[in-house]
Amino acid sequence: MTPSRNPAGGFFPPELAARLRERFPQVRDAAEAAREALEAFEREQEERQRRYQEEVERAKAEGKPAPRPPRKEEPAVPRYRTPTFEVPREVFREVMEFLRDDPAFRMDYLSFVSAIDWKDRMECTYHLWSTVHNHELLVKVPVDRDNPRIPTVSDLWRTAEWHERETYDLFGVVYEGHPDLRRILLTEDWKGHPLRKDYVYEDPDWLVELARVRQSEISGVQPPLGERG
Amino acid sequence: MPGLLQRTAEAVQGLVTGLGVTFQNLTRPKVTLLYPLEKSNVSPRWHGLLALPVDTETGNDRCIICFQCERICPSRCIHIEATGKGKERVLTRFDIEMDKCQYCGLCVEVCPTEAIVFIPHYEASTYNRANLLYTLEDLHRAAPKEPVARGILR
Amino acid sequence: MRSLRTEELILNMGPQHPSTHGVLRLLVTLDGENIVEVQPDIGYLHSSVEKMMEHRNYTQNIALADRGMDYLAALVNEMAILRAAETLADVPVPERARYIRTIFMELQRLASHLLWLGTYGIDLGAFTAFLWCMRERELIMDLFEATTGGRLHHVYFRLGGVNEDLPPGWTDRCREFCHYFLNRLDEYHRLLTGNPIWQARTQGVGVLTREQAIAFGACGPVARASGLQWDVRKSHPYEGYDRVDFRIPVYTEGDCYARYLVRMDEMRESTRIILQCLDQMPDGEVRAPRVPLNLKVPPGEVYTRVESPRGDLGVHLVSTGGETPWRVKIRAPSFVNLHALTEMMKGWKVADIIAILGSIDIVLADVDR
Ligand code: SF4
Ligand code: SF4
Repeated sequence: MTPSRNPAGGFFPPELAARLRERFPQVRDAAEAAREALEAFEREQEERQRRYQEEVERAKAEGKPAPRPPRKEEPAVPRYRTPTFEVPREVFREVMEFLRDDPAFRMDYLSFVSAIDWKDRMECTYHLWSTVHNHELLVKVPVDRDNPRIPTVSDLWRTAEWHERETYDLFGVVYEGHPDLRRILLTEDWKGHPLRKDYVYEDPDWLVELARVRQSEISGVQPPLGERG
Repeated sequence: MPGLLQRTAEAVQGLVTGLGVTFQNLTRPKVTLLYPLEKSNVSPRWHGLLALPVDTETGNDRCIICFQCERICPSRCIHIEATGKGKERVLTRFDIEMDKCQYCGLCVEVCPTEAIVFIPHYEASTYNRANLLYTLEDLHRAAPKEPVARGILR
Repeated sequence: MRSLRTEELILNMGPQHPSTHGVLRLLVTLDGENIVEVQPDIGYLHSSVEKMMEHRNYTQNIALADRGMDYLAALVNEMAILRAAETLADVPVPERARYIRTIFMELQRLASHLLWLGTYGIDLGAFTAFLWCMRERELIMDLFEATTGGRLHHVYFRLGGVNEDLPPGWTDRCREFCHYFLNRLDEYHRLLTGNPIWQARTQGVGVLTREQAIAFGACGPVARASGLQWDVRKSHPYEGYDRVDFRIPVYTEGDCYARYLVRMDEMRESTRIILQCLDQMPDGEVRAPRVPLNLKVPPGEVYTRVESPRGDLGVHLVSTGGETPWRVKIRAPSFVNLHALTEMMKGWKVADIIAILGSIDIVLADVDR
């Protein structure tokens, strides 16, 4: 079933996708809502195109210059070039366990855990891949942006331990049940989560102050650079 | 006794093999360079220092002040200011912070008049960071501000 | 006889240590000579490249990917960003450019593996290997310099192709280098592979089983040395990789020696790929016309990956239709391999720390991004 040349974004067999939707009605609902929104958008686009054509013909008949074509609009529903499923938070753990353990899926390799900040909402992303069947899947879980919490998957895939620490560090997502949730890239005393869209990345006062304190600590041990003999 | 003999033979064999490699390398061409005394030749596409070459006839550079290089620079290290209108527009400031520059060459690529170019010079280090701010004159002169490796040998 | 009182000792290695290959701090908990636990402390080189990319357009991001990520494989990083952007925007790439990209990525792999072999040699006390590897790497650097103008940071690939065509005579130089290099590779094998000291330091040390490798998400040569037959160049072919014939070296031992052998074999395969590409490369354009530098990528999401010398380098690109990406997630191979290191080191002796750490070939700029 696997195509000889995997598309760049990866491949997920449609019959497995159908099985997943069947097994978890919540996943199906989310997928259907997205599909309906996209279809509605496409219908609307067609409608606009048709109206535009009519206008063009009317203008031609009346000898007026043709009106300007409608602006190309982009759908609010994103287009996924990697097979993607939106999974509600309530069934998230169940879905992940199912994906990992079911022999037809066997998604035993977790590529990364991350998040996307959409300014008004937040999504946690997980990329799964099967070393057995070579199919892959992106799982997205919407979470509350002001208080992002989601159960950990580090007991299912050990690699998630560090990825979740990184996402906690950069996005502030709290993984419930994680054995050791600390900052990993930034220092312990860092404030804020830099990859969130509202993070102010000019030097904040506390950082300037901290740098000054550190500098004076160091210069207490060594004379400042210019004065070394 | 035969054990010792054999071990000796092995040691001698190892020594001979090792020396063989040594002598082989004696005859191979040298691959190193005595750096401050000899300089290596860089390719014509070398991403070295940036310069605004001056046309010898008109005594001016070719910049048409289109700000494209300033906009494309990923490090945001080019700063251009100009006064005047139309044909009379003149550059009042063309600074490149060479310490921020990552020698990516995007500014050279977008320049429509080839006013900004790379020169094959790779010794840009100085003793003072302030020297790495290249102003319009420096870019016209197209040479590093401070001779490098001062006081080393000769 | 009274038993000696023992207690665990915490050894702090780094952040500036010649064998950590960058600013990495290892907190090693020791019980006598034995390693109980290793906790890497990373982030010293964190430059938040993902955040910076959100503020720059795709062409500028190529330059960022060069520097902000794995600095030993700059061209592969460029390809990672480009593959995501080009997939999302459906940018056509001329055939010749695809081959040129393949050649350069393989040269980059050679250069990276050579540097790894040299420094690993120093870690284990084989100084000659370092000098020899640097000698060959210099030739690759010269090949790069002649075409891209840079030795480490190239900014050579562009959306829809490459910046400039190859200079005249370059293909002959490259072919000459490949044949020269195949001979040198045999020399390395004679120097190291059968060397009893080398074997004693690496064989059976730092074993990672296949199950552990999958659980820890290990990738690249580390996973292939543990028996996971997986290479993005085969499973998701990009550029010219589905048109050349090459083999993925796989070993099942999972120790440092197997990782060494995987990389040695990979170098031979890379040379073969380059030679095949040089033969097959057609003439023609190297850059698709009418791809603007500030390309607007249509909204959508994609996760693409490329095989960097260190493993599976993935980019999750989220675009909302602007000139700049909305979110770029870089899945760095060194990051996951460093996590696997904590498992690999358990139970080994202090003296093996360097041998195991060196064998996973981390680049700290890649770990911290
Ligand atoms: S080479 Fe790159 S970084 Fe340097 S000034 Fe030009 S655009 Fe900016
Ligand atoms: S792109 Fe060229 S012409 Fe335009 S401002 Fe820069 S140097 Fe001048």
